[in-house]
Amino acid sequence: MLKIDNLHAAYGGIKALRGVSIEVKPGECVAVLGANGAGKSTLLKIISAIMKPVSGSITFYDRKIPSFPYQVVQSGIVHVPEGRQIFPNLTVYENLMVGAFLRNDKNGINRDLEWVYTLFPRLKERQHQYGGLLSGGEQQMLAISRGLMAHPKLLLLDEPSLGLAPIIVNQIFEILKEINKSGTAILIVEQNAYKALSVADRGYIMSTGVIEKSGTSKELLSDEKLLKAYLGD
Amino acid sequence: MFIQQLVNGVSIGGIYALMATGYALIYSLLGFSNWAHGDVAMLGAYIGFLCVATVRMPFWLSALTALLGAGVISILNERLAYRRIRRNNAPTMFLMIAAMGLSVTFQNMVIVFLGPKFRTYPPVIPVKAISLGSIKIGVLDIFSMAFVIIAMSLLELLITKTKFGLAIRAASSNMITASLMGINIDFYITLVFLLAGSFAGAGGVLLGLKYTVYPQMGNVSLKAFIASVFGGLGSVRGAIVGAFIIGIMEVFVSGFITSGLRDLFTFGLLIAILLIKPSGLFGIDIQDKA
Ligand SMILES: Nc1ncnc2c1ncn2[C@@H]1O[C@H](COP(=O)(O)OP(=O)(O)O)[C@@H](O)[C@H]1O
Ligand SMILES: [Mg+2]
Repeated sequence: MLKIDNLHAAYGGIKALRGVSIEVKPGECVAVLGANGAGKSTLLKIISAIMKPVSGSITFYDRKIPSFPYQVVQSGIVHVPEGRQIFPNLTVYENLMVGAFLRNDKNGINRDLEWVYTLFPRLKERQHQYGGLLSGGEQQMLAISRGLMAHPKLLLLDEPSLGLAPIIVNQIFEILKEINKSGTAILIVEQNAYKALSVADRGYIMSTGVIEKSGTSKELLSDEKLLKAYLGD
Repeated sequence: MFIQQLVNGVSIGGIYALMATGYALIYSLLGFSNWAHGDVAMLGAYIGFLCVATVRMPFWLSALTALLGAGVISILNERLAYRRIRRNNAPTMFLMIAAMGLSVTFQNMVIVFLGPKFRTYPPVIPVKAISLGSIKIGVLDIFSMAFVIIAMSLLELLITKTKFGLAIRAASSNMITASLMGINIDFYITLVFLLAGSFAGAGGVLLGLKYTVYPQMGNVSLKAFIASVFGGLGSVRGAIVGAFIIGIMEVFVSGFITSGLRDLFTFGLLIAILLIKPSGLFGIDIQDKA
Protein backbone atom coordinates (compact mmCIF):
# COMPACT_ATOMS: atom_id res chain seq x y z
CA MET A 1 0.00 0.00 0.00
CA LEU A 2 2.84 2.41 0.87
CA LYS A 3 5.89 2.40 -1.38
CA ILE A 4 8.88 4.64 -0.76
CA ASP A 5 11.55 4.67 -3.41
CA ASN A 6 15.03 6.18 -3.22
CA LEU A 7 14.07 8.98 -0.85
CA HIS A 8 16.56 11.76 -0.13
CA ALA A 9 16.04 14.49 2.47
CA ALA A 10 18.09 17.26 4.02
CA TYR A 11 17.95 20.04 6.59
CA GLY A 12 19.77 22.83 4.84
CA GLY A 13 23.12 21.25 4.02
CA ILE A 14 22.77 18.31 6.43
CA LYS A 15 21.66 15.15 4.65
CA ALA A 16 19.18 13.23 6.79
CA LEU A 17 18.04 10.53 4.32
CA ARG A 18 20.18 9.13 1.52
CA GLY A 19 18.24 6.85 -0.77
CA VAL A 20 15.72 5.18 1.51
CA SER A 21 13.36 2.58 0.01
CA ILE A 22 10.77 0.78 2.10
CA GLU A 23 7.37 -0.77 1.64
CA VAL A 24 4.32 -1.46 3.77
CA LYS A 25 1.68 -3.94 2.57
CA PRO A 26 -2.00 -3.83 3.56
CA GLY A 27 -2.53 -4.98 7.15
CA GLU A 28 1.17 -5.26 7.87
CA CYS A 29 3.07 -3.92 10.85
CA VAL A 30 6.51 -2.74 9.79
CA ALA A 31 9.27 -1.39 12.02
CA VAL A 32 12.08 1.00 11.10
CA LEU A 33 14.81 0.72 13.71
CA GLY A 34 17.72 2.99 14.27
CA ALA A 35 19.69 4.90 16.88
CA ASN A 36 19.07 8.54 17.72
CA GLY A 37 19.70 10.72 14.66
CA ALA A 38 19.35 7.89 12.13
CA GLY A 39 16.62 9.76 10.22
CA LYS A 40 13.54 7.89 11.44
CA SER A 41 11.48 10.96 12.31
CA THR A 42 12.51 12.64 9.08
CA LEU A 43 11.11 9.68 7.16
CA LEU A 44 7.71 10.00 8.86
CA LYS A 45 7.65 13.80 8.48
CA ILE A 46 8.08 13.41 4.74
CA ILE A 47 5.33 10.80 4.44
CA SER A 48 2.89 13.06 6.30
CA ALA A 49 3.98 16.07 4.19
CA ILE A 50 5.09 18.35 7.00
CA MET A 51 8.51 18.24 5.33
CA LYS A 52 9.46 18.24 1.65
CA PRO A 53 11.90 15.65 0.32
CA VAL A 54 14.88 16.55 -1.87
CA SER A 55 14.06 13.70 -4.26
CA GLY A 56 12.50 10.27 -4.42
CA SER A 57 8.94 9.01 -4.69
CA ILE A 58 6.27 8.03 -2.20
CA THR A 59 3.08 6.35 -3.36
CA PHE A 60 0.07 5.20 -1.37
CA TYR A 61 -2.14 2.70 -3.19
CA ASP A 62 -0.15 3.56 -6.34
CA ARG A 63 -0.96 7.27 -6.09
CA LYS A 64 1.57 9.97 -5.35
CA ILE A 65 1.29 11.21 -1.79
CA PRO A 66 -0.45 14.65 -1.68
CA SER A 67 1.51 17.74 -0.71
CA PHE A 68 -0.49 19.13 2.22
CA PRO A 69 -0.68 17.30 5.57
CA TYR A 70 -4.49 17.46 5.77
CA GLN A 71 -4.73 15.81 2.35
CA VAL A 72 -2.46 13.01 3.52
CA VAL A 73 -4.88 12.43 6.42
CA GLN A 74 -7.75 12.43 3.92
CA SER A 75 -5.97 9.76 1.91
CA GLY A 76 -5.86 7.50 4.99
CA ILE A 77 -2.46 8.01 6.62
CA VAL A 78 -2.11 9.45 10.11
CA HIS A 79 1.19 10.35 11.76
CA VAL A 80 1.41 10.15 15.57
CA PRO A 81 4.40 12.40 16.18
CA GLU A 82 7.40 11.93 18.43
CA GLY A 83 6.96 13.22 21.96
CA ARG A 84 3.15 12.71 21.82
CA GLN A 85 2.34 16.41 21.15
CA ILE A 86 -0.93 16.36 23.03
CA PHE A 87 -2.88 19.65 22.97
CA PRO A 88 -2.43 20.52 26.66
CA ASN A 89 -5.20 23.13 26.81
CA LEU A 90 -7.80 20.81 25.23
CA THR A 91 -9.60 18.09 27.16
CA VAL A 92 -8.95 14.43 26.43
CA TYR A 93 -12.27 14.27 24.59
CA GLU A 94 -11.46 17.39 22.56
CA ASN A 95 -8.04 15.99 21.68
CA LEU A 96 -9.79 12.91 20.31
CA MET A 97 -12.23 15.06 18.35
CA VAL A 98 -9.33 16.88 16.71
CA GLY A 99 -8.22 13.44 15.55
CA ALA A 100 -11.65 12.95 13.96
CA PHE A 101 -11.55 16.43 12.44
CA LEU A 102 -12.04 15.49 8.79
CA ARG A 103 -14.86 13.05 9.46
CA ASN A 104 -18.56 13.76 9.29
CA ASP A 105 -19.91 10.27 9.93
CA LYS A 106 -21.28 10.73 13.44
CA ASN A 107 -21.97 7.04 13.96
CA GLY A 108 -18.52 6.03 12.81
CA ILE A 109 -16.92 8.62 15.08
CA ASN A 110 -18.89 7.36 18.09
CA ARG A 111 -17.98 3.78 17.26
CA ASP A 112 -14.28 4.63 17.11
CA LEU A 113 -14.56 6.67 20.30
CA GLU A 114 -16.01 3.65 22.11
CA TRP A 115 -13.28 1.51 20.60
CA VAL A 116 -10.37 3.66 21.81
CA TYR A 117 -12.04 3.94 25.22
CA THR A 118 -12.12 0.13 25.34
CA LEU A 119 -8.48 -0.08 24.31
CA PHE A 120 -7.48 2.55 26.89
CA PRO A 121 -10.07 2.73 29.69
CA ARG A 122 -7.89 5.33 31.47
CA LEU A 123 -8.80 7.81 28.75
CA LYS A 124 -12.51 7.36 29.33
CA GLU A 125 -12.05 7.99 33.05
CA ARG A 126 -10.19 11.19 32.28
CA GLN A 127 -12.09 12.36 29.22
CA HIS A 128 -12.98 15.76 30.68
CA GLN A 129 -9.52 16.53 32.01
CA TYR A 130 -7.03 18.70 30.17
CA GLY A 131 -4.53 16.78 28.07
CA GLY A 132 -1.68 18.58 29.76
CA LEU A 133 -2.58 17.02 33.11
CA LEU A 134 -2.11 13.41 31.95
CA SER A 135 0.96 11.34 32.81
CA GLY A 136 3.47 10.53 30.08
CA GLY A 137 2.01 7.07 29.51
CA GLU A 138 -1.55 8.39 29.37
CA GLN A 139 -0.45 11.08 26.91
CA GLN A 140 1.02 8.41 24.65
CA MET A 141 -2.23 6.45 24.85
CA LEU A 142 -4.09 9.64 23.96
CA ALA A 143 -1.74 10.39 21.06
CA ILE A 144 -2.31 6.92 19.59
CA SER A 145 -6.06 7.13 20.16
CA ARG A 146 -6.23 10.60 18.64
CA GLY A 147 -4.56 9.17 15.55
CA LEU A 148 -7.02 6.25 15.46
CA MET A 149 -9.96 8.66 15.59
CA ALA A 150 -9.14 9.62 12.00
CA HIS A 151 -9.84 5.97 11.10
CA PRO A 152 -6.57 5.58 9.17
CA LYS A 153 -5.68 2.74 6.85
CA LEU A 154 -2.04 3.28 7.84
CA LEU A 155 -0.87 4.54 11.22
CA LEU A 156 2.63 6.06 11.48
CA LEU A 157 4.06 5.87 15.01
CA ASP A 158 7.17 7.79 16.05
CA GLU A 159 8.86 6.21 19.09
CA PRO A 160 5.82 5.44 21.24
CA SER A 161 8.11 3.93 23.92
CA LEU A 162 10.15 7.11 24.37
CA GLY A 163 10.61 8.05 28.03
CA LEU A 164 8.04 5.59 29.39
CA ALA A 165 8.40 3.00 32.16
CA PRO A 166 8.84 -0.57 30.83
CA ILE A 167 5.53 -1.74 32.26
CA ILE A 168 3.65 1.02 30.39
CA VAL A 169 5.63 0.29 27.23
CA ASN A 170 4.54 -3.36 27.43
CA GLN A 171 0.92 -2.33 27.87
CA ILE A 172 1.03 0.02 24.89
CA PHE A 173 2.72 -2.49 22.61
CA GLU A 174 0.14 -5.16 23.49
CA ILE A 175 -2.52 -2.74 22.34
CA LEU A 176 -0.60 -1.92 19.16
CA LYS A 177 -0.85 -5.63 18.33
CA GLU A 178 -4.59 -5.45 18.84
CA ILE A 179 -4.89 -2.34 16.64
CA ASN A 180 -2.89 -4.06 13.91
CA LYS A 181 -5.07 -7.19 14.18
CA SER A 182 -8.16 -5.05 13.67
CA GLY A 183 -6.85 -4.33 10.16
CA THR A 184 -4.97 -1.04 10.53
CA ALA A 185 -1.52 -1.21 8.96
CA ILE A 186 1.26 0.23 11.12
CA LEU A 187 4.63 1.76 10.31
CA ILE A 188 6.47 2.19 13.58
CA VAL A 189 9.89 3.79 14.02
CA GLU A 190 11.73 2.93 17.22
CA GLN A 191 15.06 2.84 19.02
CA ASN A 192 13.64 0.06 21.19
CA ALA A 193 14.27 -2.68 18.62
CA TYR A 194 13.24 -5.65 20.74
CA LYS A 195 9.91 -4.14 21.65
CA ALA A 196 9.16 -2.97 18.13
CA LEU A 197 10.08 -6.31 16.56
CA SER A 198 7.82 -8.06 19.07
CA VAL A 199 4.81 -6.52 17.29
CA ALA A 200 6.16 -6.02 13.78
CA ASP A 201 6.00 -8.56 10.96
CA ARG A 202 9.12 -7.13 9.31
CA GLY A 203 11.77 -4.57 10.06
CA TYR A 204 14.33 -2.27 8.44
CA ILE A 205 17.49 -1.16 10.14
CA MET A 206 18.46 2.41 9.46
CA SER A 207 21.74 4.11 10.19
CA THR A 208 22.67 7.72 9.28
CA GLY A 209 19.99 8.01 6.64
CA VAL A 210 20.58 4.67 4.94
CA ILE A 211 18.71 1.35 5.20
CA GLU A 212 21.41 -1.11 6.18
CA LYS A 213 19.38 -4.28 6.43
CA SER A 214 15.88 -5.62 6.26
CA GLY A 215 14.15 -8.85 7.11
CA THR A 216 11.37 -10.50 9.03
CA SER A 217 11.25 -9.74 12.73
CA LYS A 218 12.39 -13.27 13.45
CA GLU A 219 15.46 -12.94 11.23
CA LEU A 220 16.44 -9.60 12.70
CA LEU A 221 15.91 -10.70 16.30
CA SER A 222 18.11 -13.76 15.80
CA ASP A 223 21.03 -11.62 14.66
CA GLU A 224 22.14 -10.10 17.95
CA LYS A 225 25.43 -8.83 16.56
CA LEU A 226 23.56 -6.79 14.00
CA LEU A 227 21.17 -5.28 16.51
CA LYS A 228 24.07 -4.40 18.79
CA ALA A 229 26.08 -2.87 15.98
CA TYR A 230 23.35 -0.54 14.75
CA LEU A 231 21.30 0.11 17.81
CA GLY A 232 23.93 -0.07 20.53
CA ASP A 233 21.61 -2.03 22.79
CA MET B 1 -21.85 60.35 38.47
CA PHE B 2 -20.08 57.09 39.27
CA ILE B 3 -22.64 54.94 37.45
CA GLN B 4 -22.70 57.40 34.57
CA GLN B 5 -18.93 57.09 34.12
CA LEU B 6 -19.12 53.34 34.46
CA VAL B 7 -21.60 53.20 31.59
CA ASN B 8 -19.35 55.41 29.46
CA GLY B 9 -16.39 53.19 30.32
CA VAL B 10 -18.24 50.02 29.37
CA SER B 11 -19.25 51.62 26.09
CA ILE B 12 -15.70 52.54 25.05
CA GLY B 13 -14.33 49.31 26.55
CA GLY B 14 -16.67 47.38 24.28
CA ILE B 15 -15.15 49.04 21.23
CA TYR B 16 -11.66 48.18 22.48
CA ALA B 17 -12.88 44.61 23.00
CA LEU B 18 -13.90 44.36 19.33
CA MET B 19 -10.34 45.17 18.36
CA ALA B 20 -8.58 43.31 21.15
CA THR B 21 -10.29 39.95 20.47
CA GLY B 22 -9.17 39.88 16.83
CA TYR B 23 -5.73 40.97 17.85
CA ALA B 24 -5.61 38.17 20.45
CA LEU B 25 -6.87 35.55 17.99
CA ILE B 26 -4.13 36.39 15.50
CA TYR B 27 -1.53 36.49 18.23
CA SER B 28 -2.60 33.12 19.60
CA LEU B 29 -2.33 31.50 16.18
CA LEU B 30 0.71 33.14 14.65
CA GLY B 31 2.55 34.46 17.69
CA PHE B 32 3.08 38.01 16.50
CA SER B 33 1.72 41.47 17.21
CA ASN B 34 -0.33 42.51 14.21
CA TRP B 35 0.39 46.23 14.22
CA ALA B 36 -1.75 46.70 11.10
CA HIS B 37 -4.86 45.60 13.01
CA GLY B 38 -5.81 49.13 14.03
CA ASP B 39 -5.39 50.35 10.48
CA VAL B 40 -7.81 47.70 9.29
CA ALA B 41 -10.25 49.25 11.78
CA MET B 42 -9.45 52.69 10.34
CA LEU B 43 -10.08 51.47 6.78
CA GLY B 44 -13.36 49.96 7.96
CA ALA B 45 -14.34 53.34 9.41
CA TYR B 46 -13.53 55.03 6.09
CA ILE B 47 -15.41 52.45 4.04
CA GLY B 48 -18.48 52.94 6.23
CA PHE B 49 -18.11 56.71 6.08
CA LEU B 50 -17.76 56.80 2.28
CA CYS B 51 -20.75 54.50 1.83
CA VAL B 52 -22.97 56.60 4.07
CA ALA B 53 -21.75 60.12 3.26
CA THR B 54 -20.66 59.86 -0.37
CA VAL B 55 -22.55 56.95 -1.90
CA ARG B 56 -25.52 57.66 0.41
CA MET B 57 -26.24 54.03 1.09
CA PRO B 58 -28.47 53.17 4.05
CA PHE B 59 -26.52 52.93 7.30
CA TRP B 60 -27.00 49.21 7.95
CA LEU B 61 -25.76 48.38 4.45
CA SER B 62 -22.81 50.75 4.82
CA ALA B 63 -21.87 49.16 8.12
CA LEU B 64 -22.11 45.69 6.60
CA THR B 65 -19.91 46.79 3.69
CA ALA B 66 -17.40 48.23 6.17
CA LEU B 67 -17.28 44.96 8.13
CA LEU B 68 -16.82 42.82 5.04
CA GLY B 69 -14.38 45.29 3.47
CA ALA B 70 -12.22 45.32 6.59
CA GLY B 71 -12.41 41.52 6.71
CA VAL B 72 -11.24 41.25 3.10
CA ILE B 73 -8.40 43.74 3.66
CA SER B 74 -7.35 41.71 6.68
CA ILE B 75 -7.32 38.51 4.59
CA LEU B 76 -5.27 40.25 1.89
CA ASN B 77 -2.68 41.29 4.50
CA GLU B 78 -2.33 37.63 5.42
CA ARG B 79 -2.30 36.31 1.86
CA LEU B 80 0.05 38.86 0.33
CA ALA B 81 2.43 39.47 3.21
CA TYR B 82 2.25 37.25 6.27
CA ARG B 83 1.74 33.95 4.45
CA ARG B 84 4.87 34.38 2.35
CA ILE B 85 6.88 35.15 5.45
CA ARG B 86 5.45 32.09 7.21
CA ARG B 87 6.31 29.90 4.21
CA ASN B 88 9.95 30.97 4.45
CA ASN B 89 10.03 29.87 8.09
CA ALA B 90 11.27 33.35 8.92
CA PRO B 91 11.34 34.50 12.57
CA THR B 92 7.99 35.88 13.81
CA MET B 93 9.75 39.21 14.28
CA PHE B 94 9.57 39.54 10.47
CA LEU B 95 5.79 39.26 10.63
CA MET B 96 5.65 42.12 13.10
CA ILE B 97 7.90 44.27 10.94
CA ALA B 98 5.75 43.54 7.87
CA ALA B 99 2.69 44.55 9.90
CA MET B 100 4.33 47.85 10.85
CA GLY B 101 5.07 48.45 7.17
CA LEU B 102 1.44 47.77 6.24
CA SER B 103 0.28 50.11 8.99
CA VAL B 104 2.33 53.03 7.68
CA THR B 105 1.35 52.21 4.08
CA PHE B 106 -2.38 52.23 4.86
CA GLN B 107 -2.20 55.50 6.78
CA ASN B 108 -0.28 57.20 3.99
CA MET B 109 -2.50 55.82 1.27
CA VAL B 110 -5.52 57.27 3.02
CA ILE B 111 -3.79 60.63 3.42
CA VAL B 112 -2.88 60.65 -0.30
CA PHE B 113 -6.23 59.53 -1.68
CA LEU B 114 -8.71 60.87 0.87
CA GLY B 115 -6.78 63.64 2.59
CA PRO B 116 -5.61 64.13 6.17
CA LYS B 117 -8.84 65.82 7.34
CA PHE B 118 -10.98 64.69 10.26
CA ARG B 119 -14.40 63.54 9.04
CA THR B 120 -17.66 63.13 10.86
CA TYR B 121 -20.33 60.57 10.12
CA PRO B 122 -23.68 62.11 9.26
CA PRO B 123 -26.16 61.65 12.14
CA VAL B 124 -27.25 58.15 11.10
CA ILE B 125 -27.92 57.24 14.70
CA PRO B 126 -29.87 59.87 16.67
CA VAL B 127 -27.57 61.87 18.94
CA LYS B 128 -30.20 61.73 21.65
CA ALA B 129 -29.66 60.41 25.13
CA ILE B 130 -32.07 58.31 27.11
CA SER B 131 -32.47 59.15 30.80
CA LEU B 132 -32.67 56.39 33.35
CA GLY B 133 -33.09 58.23 36.64
CA SER B 134 -30.00 60.36 36.95
CA ILE B 135 -28.06 58.44 34.29
CA LYS B 136 -28.03 59.44 30.65
CA ILE B 137 -27.13 56.90 28.01
CA GLY B 138 -26.65 57.97 24.41
CA VAL B 139 -28.61 56.01 21.82
CA LEU B 140 -25.30 55.36 20.04
CA ASP B 141 -23.82 53.89 23.24
CA ILE B 142 -26.79 51.57 23.64
CA PHE B 143 -26.49 50.49 20.03
CA SER B 144 -22.75 50.02 20.43
CA MET B 145 -23.03 48.01 23.66
CA ALA B 146 -25.76 45.81 22.24
CA PHE B 147 -23.64 45.07 19.20
CA VAL B 148 -20.60 44.28 21.33
CA ILE B 149 -22.55 41.96 23.62
CA ILE B 150 -23.95 40.03 20.65
CA ALA B 151 -20.57 39.89 18.91
CA MET B 152 -18.72 38.70 22.02
CA SER B 153 -21.34 36.06 22.81
CA LEU B 154 -21.21 34.71 19.28
CA LEU B 155 -17.43 34.67 19.42
CA GLU B 156 -17.46 32.76 22.71
CA LEU B 157 -19.88 30.19 21.22
CA LEU B 158 -17.78 29.94 18.08
CA ILE B 159 -14.60 29.26 20.02
CA THR B 160 -15.97 26.84 22.60
CA LYS B 161 -18.74 25.01 20.74
CA THR B 162 -17.91 24.68 17.06
CA LYS B 163 -15.50 22.77 14.88
CA PHE B 164 -14.01 26.09 13.81
CA GLY B 165 -13.24 26.81 17.47
CA LEU B 166 -11.73 23.38 18.00
CA ALA B 167 -9.51 23.88 14.96
CA ILE B 168 -8.17 27.25 16.06
CA ARG B 169 -7.68 26.17 19.66
CA ALA B 170 -5.73 23.12 18.48
CA ALA B 171 -3.75 25.13 15.93
CA SER B 172 -2.86 27.84 18.41
CA SER B 173 -1.65 25.18 20.82
CA ASN B 174 0.47 23.27 18.29
CA MET B 175 0.17 24.12 14.63
CA ILE B 176 2.19 21.25 13.19
CA THR B 177 0.34 18.62 15.18
CA ALA B 178 -2.99 20.21 14.27
CA SER B 179 -2.05 19.86 10.62
CA LEU B 180 -1.05 16.22 11.21
CA MET B 181 -4.57 15.61 12.49
CA GLY B 182 -6.12 16.87 9.26
CA ILE B 183 -6.72 20.55 9.99
CA ASN B 184 -6.18 22.69 6.89
CA ILE B 185 -4.18 25.37 8.67
CA ASP B 186 -4.10 27.97 5.89
CA PHE B 187 -7.87 27.81 5.53
CA TYR B 188 -8.48 28.42 9.23
CA ILE B 189 -5.91 31.21 9.34
CA THR B 190 -7.81 32.87 6.49
CA LEU B 191 -11.07 32.56 8.44
CA VAL B 192 -9.45 34.02 11.56
CA PHE B 193 -8.20 37.03 9.59
CA LEU B 194 -11.68 37.49 8.15
CA LEU B 195 -13.22 37.38 11.62
CA ALA B 196 -10.57 39.60 13.21
CA GLY B 197 -10.74 42.09 10.35
CA SER B 198 -14.55 42.31 10.49
CA PHE B 199 -14.50 42.85 14.23
CA ALA B 200 -11.87 45.56 13.77
CA GLY B 201 -14.01 47.11 11.02
CA ALA B 202 -16.99 47.16 13.36
CA GLY B 203 -14.84 48.79 16.04
CA GLY B 204 -13.69 51.38 13.51
CA VAL B 205 -17.25 52.26 12.46
CA LEU B 206 -18.37 52.57 16.09
CA LEU B 207 -15.39 54.76 16.94
CA GLY B 208 -16.07 56.87 13.86
CA LEU B 209 -19.69 57.31 14.90
CA LYS B 210 -18.72 58.21 18.47
CA TYR B 211 -15.83 60.54 17.59
CA THR B 212 -14.34 61.24 14.15
CA VAL B 213 -12.70 59.43 11.25
CA TYR B 214 -9.07 60.30 10.45
CA PRO B 215 -6.01 58.50 9.03
CA GLN B 216 -4.28 57.89 12.37
CA MET B 217 -7.36 56.71 14.26
CA GLY B 218 -6.06 53.14 14.03
CA ASN B 219 -3.43 53.97 16.63
CA VAL B 220 -6.14 53.26 19.15
CA SER B 221 -5.27 49.60 18.57
CA LEU B 222 -2.43 50.22 21.02
CA LYS B 223 -5.22 50.05 23.59
CA ALA B 224 -6.24 46.70 22.15
CA PHE B 225 -2.66 45.57 22.49
CA ILE B 226 -2.52 46.67 26.12
CA ALA B 227 -5.85 44.97 26.78
CA SER B 228 -4.44 41.75 25.33
CA VAL B 229 -1.27 41.91 27.41
CA PHE B 230 -3.33 42.73 30.48
CA GLY B 231 -5.66 39.78 29.91
CA GLY B 232 -2.88 37.42 28.92
CA LEU B 233 -1.44 37.54 25.40
CA GLY B 234 -3.29 35.25 23.05
CA SER B 235 -6.25 34.72 25.38
CA VAL B 236 -9.49 35.90 23.82
CA ARG B 237 -11.39 36.04 27.12
CA GLY B 238 -8.47 37.86 28.68
CA ALA B 239 -8.56 40.40 25.88
CA ILE B 240 -12.27 41.07 26.47
CA VAL B 241 -11.81 41.55 30.21
CA GLY B 242 -8.69 43.67 29.63
CA ALA B 243 -10.51 45.87 27.12
CA PHE B 244 -13.36 46.63 29.51
CA ILE B 245 -10.98 47.34 32.40
CA ILE B 246 -8.99 49.76 30.26
CA GLY B 247 -12.12 51.46 28.93
CA ILE B 248 -13.52 51.93 32.42
CA MET B 249 -10.20 53.06 33.86
CA GLU B 250 -9.74 55.65 31.13
CA VAL B 251 -13.16 57.15 31.67
CA PHE B 252 -12.62 57.30 35.42
CA VAL B 253 -9.21 58.93 35.09
CA SER B 254 -10.61 61.48 32.63
CA GLY B 255 -13.70 62.13 34.72
CA PHE B 256 -12.28 62.19 38.23
CA ILE B 257 -8.65 63.25 37.71
CA THR B 258 -7.90 64.84 34.36
CA SER B 259 -8.13 63.67 30.77
CA GLY B 260 -4.50 64.65 30.23
CA LEU B 261 -3.40 61.75 32.42
CA ARG B 262 -5.60 59.15 30.72
CA ASP B 263 -2.92 57.56 28.55
CA LEU B 264 -0.35 57.82 31.31
CA PHE B 265 -2.54 55.55 33.44
CA THR B 266 -3.16 53.13 30.58
CA PHE B 267 0.50 52.72 29.75
CA GLY B 268 1.37 52.67 33.45
CA LEU B 269 -0.98 49.69 33.73
CA LEU B 270 0.85 47.99 30.86
CA ILE B 271 4.21 48.47 32.54
CA ALA B 272 2.85 47.32 35.90
CA ILE B 273 1.44 44.13 34.36
CA LEU B 274 4.66 43.39 32.54
CA LEU B 275 6.59 43.77 35.80
CA ILE B 276 4.20 41.98 38.15
CA LYS B 277 2.44 39.29 36.12
CA PRO B 278 3.77 39.14 32.56
CA SER B 279 1.47 36.25 31.68
CA GLY B 280 -1.55 38.50 32.32
CA LEU B 281 -4.83 37.88 34.13
CA PHE B 282 -5.76 34.77 32.17
CA GLY B 283 -2.10 33.81 31.95
CA ILE B 284 -1.44 31.40 29.14
CA ASP B 285 2.19 30.32 29.20
CA ILE B 286 3.84 32.75 26.83
CA GLN B 287 7.42 31.54 27.21
CA ASP B 288 7.74 30.24 23.68
CA LYS B 289 5.38 32.63 21.94
CA ALA B 290 6.46 36.05 23.15
N1 LIG C 1 15.07 20.57 12.49
C1 LIG C 1 16.29 20.08 12.16
N2 LIG C 1 17.27 20.92 11.73
C2 LIG C 1 18.48 20.43 11.40
N3 LIG C 1 18.83 19.14 11.45
C3 LIG C 1 17.90 18.27 11.88
C4 LIG C 1 16.59 18.70 12.26
N4 LIG C 1 15.89 17.61 12.63
C5 LIG C 1 16.72 16.56 12.51
N5 LIG C 1 17.93 16.95 12.06
C6 LIG C 1 19.09 16.06 11.76
O1 LIG C 1 18.70 15.09 10.82
C7 LIG C 1 19.19 13.82 11.18
C8 LIG C 1 18.05 12.84 11.35
O2 LIG C 1 17.20 13.28 12.40
P1 LIG C 1 15.87 12.51 12.82
O3 LIG C 1 15.11 12.17 11.62
O4 LIG C 1 15.19 13.35 13.84
O5 LIG C 1 16.47 11.20 13.50
P2 LIG C 1 15.78 10.15 14.47
O6 LIG C 1 14.31 10.42 14.48
O7 LIG C 1 16.13 8.84 13.89
O8 LIG C 1 16.39 10.35 15.81
C9 LIG C 1 20.00 14.02 12.46
O9 LIG C 1 21.35 14.14 12.10
C10 LIG C 1 19.49 15.31 13.00
O10 LIG C 1 20.50 15.99 13.72
MG1 LIG D 1 13.13 10.88 16.08
